[in-house]
Amino acid sequence: MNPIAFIPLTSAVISLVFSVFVFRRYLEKHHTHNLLWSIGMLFYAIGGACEAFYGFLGWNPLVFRLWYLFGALLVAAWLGQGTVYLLAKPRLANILMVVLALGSLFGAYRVFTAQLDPAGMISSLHTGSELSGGAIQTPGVRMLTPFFNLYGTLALVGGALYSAFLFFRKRVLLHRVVGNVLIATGAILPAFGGAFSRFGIPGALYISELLGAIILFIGFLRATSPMPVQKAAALPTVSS
Amino acid sequence: MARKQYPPFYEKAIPIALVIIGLLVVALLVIIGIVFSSQ
Repeated sequence: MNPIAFIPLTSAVISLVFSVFVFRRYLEKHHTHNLLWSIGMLFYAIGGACEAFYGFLGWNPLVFRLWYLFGALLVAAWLGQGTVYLLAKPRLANILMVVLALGSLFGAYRVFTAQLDPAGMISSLHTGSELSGGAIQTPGVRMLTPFFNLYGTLALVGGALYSAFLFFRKRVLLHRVVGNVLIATGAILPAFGGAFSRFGIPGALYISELLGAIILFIGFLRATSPMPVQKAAALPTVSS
Repeated sequence: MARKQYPPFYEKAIPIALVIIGLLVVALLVIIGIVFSSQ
């Protein structure tokens, strides 16, 4: 048993709670972005659970495929798609949703038909203590991840930054500004962790995923709970 | 016309945070580019 597995286990529990929380919000308000964020955080939880499984019980090809599909390939893109539904016109969001759904099915097919070799996770850069895409032997499968993750990260981080900037410019809804800054921070952390993992920095992926899940959750809670505004805050005025 | 303001801490902290995260996004794109080109 690898004690580092407690880190992704914690990420999985936090992400699952987050997913249920957002799904309950979807049931109340029926906003598509909440449904997609809930699905995205469920993928996050599956990824964390697979990492924990590997740490506690060792290699399993099905668990690896589930991890790569949900934790490495789809999670950022589905979370980002939620933000696209929040900010883009419905028609554009629907078109991108169809593209993402088809891409996800294609990704699932490629991941579940790929040849695996766990020895590939041990290289000059990786010790094999963490799951890594190096186990995939079939060419072209790993090339899919940057496309999904770039789309997801840019949509999620870019959308949160854009929202924060709009509210900040008008000096309204401070809780949304703070929440979106936290969401952008939480979203970018796993992206860096994944990149650093490719360079063989041990623990980078799991720790960044845990911090990302925590900060995303806090950001979501902050963005959805108005902050008490002190009257004094609005007193200083600037002539325009 | 009077312009609303946030509490002083947020007036300073939010623009700094937005710029830092924006720079991190650029850095991430560069790292992804390096990873991509090294494969």
